[in-house]
Amino acid sequence: MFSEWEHNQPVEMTCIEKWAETGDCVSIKLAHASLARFSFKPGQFVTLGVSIAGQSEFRAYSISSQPDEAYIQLTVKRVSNGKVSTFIVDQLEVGHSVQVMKPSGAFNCLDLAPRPSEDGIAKVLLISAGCGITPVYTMAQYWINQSHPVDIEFLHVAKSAAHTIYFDQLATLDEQYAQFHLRLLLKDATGTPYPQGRLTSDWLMQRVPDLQDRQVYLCGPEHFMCDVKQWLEQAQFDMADFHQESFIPAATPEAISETVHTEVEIEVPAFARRLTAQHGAVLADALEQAGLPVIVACRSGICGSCKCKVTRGSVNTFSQEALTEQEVAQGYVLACSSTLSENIGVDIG
Amino acid sequence: MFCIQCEQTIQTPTVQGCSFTQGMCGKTSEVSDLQDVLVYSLQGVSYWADLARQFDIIDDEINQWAPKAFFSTLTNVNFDPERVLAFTRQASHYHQRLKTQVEAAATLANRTLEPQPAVAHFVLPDDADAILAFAPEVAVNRGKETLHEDVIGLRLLCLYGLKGAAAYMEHARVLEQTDNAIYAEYHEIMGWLGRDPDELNALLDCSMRIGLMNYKVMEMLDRGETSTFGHPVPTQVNVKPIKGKCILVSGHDLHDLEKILQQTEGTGIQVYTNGEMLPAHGYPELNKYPHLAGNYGSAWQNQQKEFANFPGAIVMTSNCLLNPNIGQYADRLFTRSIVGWPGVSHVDGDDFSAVIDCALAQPGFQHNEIEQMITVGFGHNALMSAAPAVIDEVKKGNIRHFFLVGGCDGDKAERSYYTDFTAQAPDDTVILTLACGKFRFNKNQFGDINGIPRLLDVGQCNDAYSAIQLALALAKEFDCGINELPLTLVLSWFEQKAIVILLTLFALGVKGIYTGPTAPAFLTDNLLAIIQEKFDMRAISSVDADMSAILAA
Repeated sequence: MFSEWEHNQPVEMTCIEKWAETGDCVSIKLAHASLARFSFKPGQFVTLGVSIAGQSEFRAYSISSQPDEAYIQLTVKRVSNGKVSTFIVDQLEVGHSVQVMKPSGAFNCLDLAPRPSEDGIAKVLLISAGCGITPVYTMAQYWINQSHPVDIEFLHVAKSAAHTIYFDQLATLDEQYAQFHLRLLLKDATGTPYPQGRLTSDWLMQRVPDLQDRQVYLCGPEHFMCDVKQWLEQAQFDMADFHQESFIPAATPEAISETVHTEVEIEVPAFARRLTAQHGAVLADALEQAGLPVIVACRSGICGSCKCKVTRGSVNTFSQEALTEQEVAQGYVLACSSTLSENIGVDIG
Repeated sequence: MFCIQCEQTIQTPTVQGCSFTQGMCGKTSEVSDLQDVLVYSLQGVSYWADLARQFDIIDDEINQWAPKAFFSTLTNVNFDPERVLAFTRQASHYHQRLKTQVEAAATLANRTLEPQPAVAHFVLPDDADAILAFAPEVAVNRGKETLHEDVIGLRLLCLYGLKGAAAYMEHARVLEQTDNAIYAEYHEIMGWLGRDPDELNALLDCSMRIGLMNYKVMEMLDRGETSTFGHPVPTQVNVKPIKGKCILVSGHDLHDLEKILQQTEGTGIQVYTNGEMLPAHGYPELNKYPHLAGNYGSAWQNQQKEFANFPGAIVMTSNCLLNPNIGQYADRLFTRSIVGWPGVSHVDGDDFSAVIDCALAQPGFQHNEIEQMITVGFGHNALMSAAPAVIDEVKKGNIRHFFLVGGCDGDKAERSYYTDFTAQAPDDTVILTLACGKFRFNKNQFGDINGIPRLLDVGQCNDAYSAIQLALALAKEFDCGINELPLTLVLSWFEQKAIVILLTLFALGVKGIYTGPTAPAFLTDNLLAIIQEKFDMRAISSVDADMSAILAA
């Protein structure tokens, strides 16, 4: 496990593969040179950080690969007006780096392992729509790979066959494994043997008659999950056997927001630039890397060439030797001798 | 601010020289600018002094003062803007005096004077702010927009070299050694530099002239030291402190050390040397004082820690001075002569009672540390008397090579080269050393070759004169040129005295000198190429490579 993950810090990983699952959905594989096996619980997600227009954005994505591979795979569908999903689908390339927080989430098939019935077989109903297929698909794969005695009803709602992520894999699983039953419901089922329509309570009860004997794992768009949950409650389903994904990790939301902000923002109004840099980085380095015209001559806090005025926020400074008292009072710092700890505004020179 | 005179000047791909708020030495841009005006003022004084000679006007007061004032602008000497201004105003006063005298004499002799260059009719503004505002016009690299960089580089080589020579002239003067011929040459060169010469050959010739002039200055200084304190003899020095109140004397001025020794007799105060003052122990007239206890500390760049840990009063008689507020000992530090730091007590005249009172008020060393002895004092007399034995060992094949490893010490990590070089020097080689670069290895054991110590401490940087005498004697004995001797000079530099010593060696025809740790930043690539071609000057690389190259030759 990365020490960064132990401290809830992101790790930089590289995209090693990318392909289209459907017209608006891609899968990406992420790897790290020093980790040969990724451990996580099937169904969990990672929080992914990407840099878009100089700014860091973080989103949670379920892992679609199996544990103990040399990579983790994420499947990302373009959300309309979605900044990050659009970036990943359209711009992220093999070789690019992303920030990855550790696998997280209570919605997984190990913490929420299905109970077997008297005959020793656990019966589950996996319900998903659109990109929500990812975690439940991973769980189903896991049970099958590990030969767990789990009978899987896999109910997935999608726009069409072409819009169905893992369409071929699902068909194969259905064909090859007696305990896997694919129940696909398509808005437009033209040219497929699958039923057409929208999911309703009636359709659900009809398609899965032994619903009450199954443990339900649900993942999909918010309103979709809301509807399904309501139907089950109305049908007197034992809600102890109902599990849905919420993308909230085991840690508290406050902890997430803290750990996600390991970057700070530097605003340089005179150059209409907004940069991000790592917490703890040297101000001079951040300005230089951004291509801003700061002169850094001696790099040891003596000559004063890197004098900058911090107009908003503050930095940690360890030399003020080349500054007058007046300059210090006005907010001047030596950029080579200052590190970043919060968002700042700065004037160069 | 623009200063590029020392070895630790800023050098990056885009910035050469110190040109921001502070130099790497810690001098502020204000001090640096004021120093530029002082130097220009001194060039004006020298212009008139040079012209005055044509009318048989020789002003001893000005002659003896001018090199001292120039010395005050040497690296790590004076950081106090008030002192720099005082020197500058004095220069202006002398400028006026000489100008008036010359104009009067010319009128009397019915001679019309040539039209005067700018430096000759320059009038110092009254106001400090006006002086500062004027400073950029007289920056040492003035004319850089239109002149070739080689011209600027050679001007700086001459200016900085002359500054080093001026420092030695002042040390000699303190020991009552003066020479009107040398003053005349000094004024002629300084006045010429003030007229912004731009001819490459003339500047190159001038640098060699400065080197030869400095040889005479070092000879004069040696005469002053040996006639006042006797010829140095090999002497053991304890480099560990002993119990008792204490005074530390640093810098180069032996005269001050003598006065302090005389005035502390019977007080119980132990006197220690530091840095370039270490060779003092070799002089009989100084060593005779039993309370000259030993040497404390090492080279200048370590002073902030060493002085902070010294439990007594400290006297800085010349360079190098660093910010005393870092170690918080500014209140027990005293400067002398041209040295200054704002707020630090300055002792004028030879009364050191303030220093003594301070030492008595400090705790002093609480214990005797276990003795550690090193040997100093191989001045030219000692070397000459050892010469027959040395020559014998050379003829027998027991000594195959001599190294002179010395010069200024400094901060850069690359200077560990000098420690490693001396450690790797083969057992059948002898190492002469001088100046504070010796502290990189002078506490190590080098053994001896049939009674001849393998490490011979020749003295201070100006005692390069003694090393040259030995080389000349050996050359005569072996009937060869100095460059055919099995002798290699491996010099480290930091400030301007080292630069002028290098010019002296070049002027005397010494070739194949290894210099380091870096080349002077004011020498352009062309100039370095010229120096390499004319004098075969070599940059140090790795000890292995250099040692093999040297011994294979």
